[in-house]
Amino acid sequence: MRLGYTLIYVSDVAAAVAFYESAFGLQQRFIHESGLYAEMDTGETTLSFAAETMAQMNGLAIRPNSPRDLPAGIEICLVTDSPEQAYDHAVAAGALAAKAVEEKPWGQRVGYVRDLNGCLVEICSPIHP
Amino acid sequence: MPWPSDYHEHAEPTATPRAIEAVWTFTASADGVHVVLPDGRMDLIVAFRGDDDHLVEDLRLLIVGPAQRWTDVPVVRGDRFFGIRFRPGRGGACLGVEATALRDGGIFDNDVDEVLGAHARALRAAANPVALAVAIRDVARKRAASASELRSSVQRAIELVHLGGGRLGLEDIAVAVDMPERTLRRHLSHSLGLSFKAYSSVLRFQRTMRLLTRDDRPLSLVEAALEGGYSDQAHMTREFRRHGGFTPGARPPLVLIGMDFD
Repeated sequence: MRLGYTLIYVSDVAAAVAFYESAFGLQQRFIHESGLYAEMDTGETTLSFAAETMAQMNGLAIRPNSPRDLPAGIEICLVTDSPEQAYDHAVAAGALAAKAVEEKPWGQRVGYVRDLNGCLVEICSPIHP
Repeated sequence: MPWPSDYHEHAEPTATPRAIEAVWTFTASADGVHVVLPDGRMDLIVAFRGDDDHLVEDLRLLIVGPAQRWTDVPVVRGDRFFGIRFRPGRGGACLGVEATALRDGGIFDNDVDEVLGAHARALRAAANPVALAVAIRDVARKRAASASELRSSVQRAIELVHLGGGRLGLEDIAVAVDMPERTLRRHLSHSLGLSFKAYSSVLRFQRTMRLLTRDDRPLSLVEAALEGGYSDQAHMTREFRRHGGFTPGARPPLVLIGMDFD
């Protein structure tokens, strides 16, 4: 077994892709012609967006994310060499500030925002062993 | 799912107004009683007899309101039904009736004529079943096209009720659509015709029934009760009895209308 995808159900797949491109500088790798599913170019572990209706089609019941609600207890973690700039850029692009970047005792710099759907996104520097 | 072969749903072209969820037909191949399971939707139905190239006979017009309990419908071989099912919360506006007034009921014949006016006359004027099928689609489309839209926040709230499989609380939904709980409760009740609580319960029942009847590998009773959102198996059994008149361990009865596809 290996982790292949992290998939977020969203009400608007194209809007989520556009937001992750503008706020975090990620690139779309694939979008299905139906507009119900898209993948970002995130390397070995794919970040995907799927329409909430797809959860329904798969027989699942979910609690949809909402920027107005408490975030779900899960986060997307994006790593960059310059988390302060990335954080400012994300907030300027419409991400909701949750916690500004600060340095952890182990030397890592970590900040948190919430995306357009209210999902937690951590922006941090790599840990250098 | 044990679909009765007498029942068919027809894919609608994408140009169909969004308020229309499905167009269905039913022809009774034997005498009997068909159980209509509740789905919280509203339908416009014509019931009649007659082959396609013959006159329409014994025509009846029905507007069926949102139900939370099953209905037994006695049918005789050859009874035919054409129906239009409206999307959740849209039936009342499209048909020009108060959804709440039709809860677990409906209006029939002359009362439908009064509500639909010229559109009812168009249905009655159909010379044969083929023309009737065209007429009922046409009437539904016209009414859907001219019906007032739901407020987008109420529309989204109904979507959330569905996405959560009837398991989300009103409080959570009210927060998500930024509306006071009391206001949202009133809007949902008015548009759906059932209270938020009753509608959610119907959705849990529908979804859990599917979990239990998936063709290949259905969930066990214990698994289905948990995934469906019931506190335990006894709770699930009580709810199945209340909504469907059968127990989760039994095969669901055949249905005439009232099942949505997903």
